Amino acid sequence: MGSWENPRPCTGDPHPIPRVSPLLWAALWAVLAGVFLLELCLGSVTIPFKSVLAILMGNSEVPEGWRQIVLLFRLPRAVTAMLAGAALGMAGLMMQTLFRNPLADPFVLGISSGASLGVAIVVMAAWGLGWTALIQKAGISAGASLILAATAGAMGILGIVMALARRVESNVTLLIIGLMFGYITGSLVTILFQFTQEQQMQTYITWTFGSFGGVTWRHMTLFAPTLLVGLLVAWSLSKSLNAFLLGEGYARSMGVNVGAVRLWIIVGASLLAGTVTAYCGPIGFLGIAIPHLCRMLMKTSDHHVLAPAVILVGAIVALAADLLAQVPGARVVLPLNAVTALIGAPVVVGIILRRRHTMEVGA
Amino acid sequence: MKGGPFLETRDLAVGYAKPRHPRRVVVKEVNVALKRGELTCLLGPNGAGKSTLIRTLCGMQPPLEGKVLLGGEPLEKLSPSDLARRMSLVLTERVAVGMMPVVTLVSLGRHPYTDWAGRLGPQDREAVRRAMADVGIEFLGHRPVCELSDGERQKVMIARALAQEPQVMVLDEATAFLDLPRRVELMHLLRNLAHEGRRAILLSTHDLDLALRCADRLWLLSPGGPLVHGVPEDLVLSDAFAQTFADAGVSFDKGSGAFTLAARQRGTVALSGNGVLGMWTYRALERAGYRVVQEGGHVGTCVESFEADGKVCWRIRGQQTIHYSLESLLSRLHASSHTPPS
Repeated sequence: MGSWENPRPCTGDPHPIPRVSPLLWAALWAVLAGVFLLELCLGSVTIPFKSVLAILMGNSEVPEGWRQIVLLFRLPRAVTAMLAGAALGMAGLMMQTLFRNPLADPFVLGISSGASLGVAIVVMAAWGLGWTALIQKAGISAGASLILAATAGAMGILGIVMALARRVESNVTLLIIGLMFGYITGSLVTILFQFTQEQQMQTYITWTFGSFGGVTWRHMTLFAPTLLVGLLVAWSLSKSLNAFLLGEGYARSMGVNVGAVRLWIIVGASLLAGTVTAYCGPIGFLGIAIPHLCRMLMKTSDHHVLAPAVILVGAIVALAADLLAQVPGARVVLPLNAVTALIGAPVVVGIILRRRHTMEVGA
Repeated sequence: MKGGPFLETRDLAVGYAKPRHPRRVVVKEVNVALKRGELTCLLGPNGAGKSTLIRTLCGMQPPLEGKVLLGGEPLEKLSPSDLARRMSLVLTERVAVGMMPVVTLVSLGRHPYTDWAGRLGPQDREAVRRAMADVGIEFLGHRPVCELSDGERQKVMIARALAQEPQVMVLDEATAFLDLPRRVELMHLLRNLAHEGRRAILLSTHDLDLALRCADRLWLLSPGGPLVHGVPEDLVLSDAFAQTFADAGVSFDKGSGAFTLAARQRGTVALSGNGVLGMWTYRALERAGYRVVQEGGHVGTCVESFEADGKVCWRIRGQQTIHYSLESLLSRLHASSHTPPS
């Protein structure tokens, strides 16, 4: 059987739980610092590394224009990308474990569909009815109204899913219901298209491209704490998520309060995915890819390891994708969603082909 | 509570009760117990309600009537983690945990004992080590679970259930998809784990033969019928075993302790011979559809089996031909049974 290979020195505990090398963690932190600084340096205007450091240190001997670019645009953009990447990765991880399906992503329950519908309604219907003036009078900017609309849509779907999750026993049923929500909202959006003009359609389409650039420091006061709370909730669920790996039957037999934990997982993942979608648009692909990347890097499906790994790797990948989308040195900005999928999908295919078992398909 | 059974049922009725549906009782008046140090096997044909009973005993579905007592306390009064400390499960479903080392999966069994972060203390590590040693999978320690064979995987799941340090371990058709040697191995392992004396083990299975040989007690569940329980041999002798599986085409033979397909009857044959040779001759004749009786008092065909010059051979009494294989003997018998006896 070849089971006797791999002998280990017999000192102390013969089977310590395998630990991830601290070097790997250090390397991830280093890469994160690297892409973070790159994000601050590169863009339509290239700012020298030294000047960026000087700006961050609070040194004022730097051109005011550069200071503004870095502090008002690139820094919030970088922070947004890191938080969004971590949040989407974590939400994806939770969904993949809950549904025991490697294809699950943060949006399987219809969160982004709900947000899309909200945005579509505001962009097309409301403006068509002449509410624009009303919204502007109320002191809400166009960006903020999109955020509000997406949040309302995501929360609406979340509410429905939560109500159903209490009644529905089977996770597969829940998964199918989520898919159906996607179709329903998709068709509603298409119907709305029929009654709108091209210009409003364009606003909606631009929103669906996704962007980390729309979050200002003012938005950050709500965006960042919400995601941090969501990430903490998710991390604290690690122990139960590990039990869920074996399926609900086993989880229950190990003393997990399956119903309650399932609700927490749904709330946590939806909070993370919903917030990101509201502020940055429906960013595909990161949520499904990052957990796979982390399983491959850490060679484990233990959530105590995966949770911090997903946060780090998520931040790195989101920053890298944003860097590429801005096409350093050029005046063009590519849609973020196009970049995440175009570059990331082949990577995931490669990983899955090489290590077929990164996550087995659940029964 | 030390002396009492680990698990006990009082007038338990299991089944399904849904609003606006008639109540469907699967089994009722179940009064059984799982005792420390015993391996109990739950047997019954498909659809008799084995899974429903197991689910009820594990607290996964509420009883319709009566009670399940775990260590003297009603199941529904126990908190999920209290229940998990007293009872652990191994299920039929194949787990797909991906890149998880065996030792990590086994330590999941410590779930009810660890803090919210799931940190393992020295006691937990010791329990994990002992569970792996008891099942004999120490050498698998760091292998990823996804690379294991089905048999090894199920052993890992048993180790995980042991690491939970339960009083009662319940296995729901846990050997179903394994090959015969693996099933025998697993059954012996379970018997040893039970006899060690710290726990009671309940296994639902379709392996009648193995259960007859290994279990300390049997629970027999027939469709709609009562649950009959007792020591395996008692159940065989009282015909309870045969009745449970009384089904068209299959019958339980008390003499051989095995199920036989009721093949078409070709007549009665007497057999002279004993030992291994006699046993296999008996099986061959029985399979071919003959009713086999001991020689003496029988006037019809009589088959003699014997050894000559170190070879096994057979002869039909009164005939000259010596057969050196059962194949040859059977074809001769078939030929003569077609001709009406003169």
